[in-house]
Amino acid sequence: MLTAKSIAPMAALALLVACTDANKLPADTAIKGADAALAAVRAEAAKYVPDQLKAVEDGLAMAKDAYAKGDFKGALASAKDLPAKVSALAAAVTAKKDELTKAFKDSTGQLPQLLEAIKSRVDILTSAKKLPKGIDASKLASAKEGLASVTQGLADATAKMSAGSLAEAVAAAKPLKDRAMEIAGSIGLTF
Amino acid sequence: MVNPIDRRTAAHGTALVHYPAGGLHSQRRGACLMAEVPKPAENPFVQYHVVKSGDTLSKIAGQYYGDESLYPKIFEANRQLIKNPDLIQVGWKLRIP
Repeated sequence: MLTAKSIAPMAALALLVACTDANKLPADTAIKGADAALAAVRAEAAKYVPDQLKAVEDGLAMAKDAYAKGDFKGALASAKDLPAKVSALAAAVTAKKDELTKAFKDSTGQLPQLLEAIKSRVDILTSAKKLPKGIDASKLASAKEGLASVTQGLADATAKMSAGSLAEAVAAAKPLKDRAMEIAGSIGLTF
Repeated sequence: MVNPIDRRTAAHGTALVHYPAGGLHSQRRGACLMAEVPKPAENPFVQYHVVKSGDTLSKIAGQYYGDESLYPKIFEANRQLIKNPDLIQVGWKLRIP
């Protein structure tokens, strides 16, 4: 026989189950939505903002874990901020790419003109019957080798940039201008 | 008074003093000199040499290239400024390719 005393815990349990179930669908939707959104940016995020990606993936894993344990309310709580975090992640990827693109341009923007100036002087010195004070044949030969090396380095860095390896392209491009300036100075070309 | 044009001829191949417009030159000559200011170079990596008294293109070529016979390289790079390779003026800023 059901008494008020025995109904109360059952009612409470029923209410809890009802409330939990009410969170199940939204939690599921939020997790699936975050998963799909993250999949779209995961590869680039891993490349450009790995720490930020890890934070978002940890949040998603927490939501999935809670969901798997039947804690739909907890799963929903963990998943509800994920869309905003994934959006922030995508924005961070774009910002990092912009930063790397700018760094690449800063390193290589005027490099072709500098190399052109060095090549012009190297060609003239190569045709000279004798070399100016402070420059000997070995210095000129070294400048020629250096010019070829920096020219190749620029081509390699540009290829990396075109292939989408922005960080590698920037790393490859960064020392080129200083090296080119060094070569220019070695053959008396100062600006 | 010495005619500056005559002095230019007498000092064949040597840098001359730059006479400002309204000085010893006629207004026409002055206007001509004012038009000789070189335009900014497109390539920012350009070495310049400011002509000093006694400079010649040959001497400048010797200084930068070690070979005075290469002066035509400098002449060609400054054709907008230099009309005659034997006539350069003190203060001119020459591009050294």
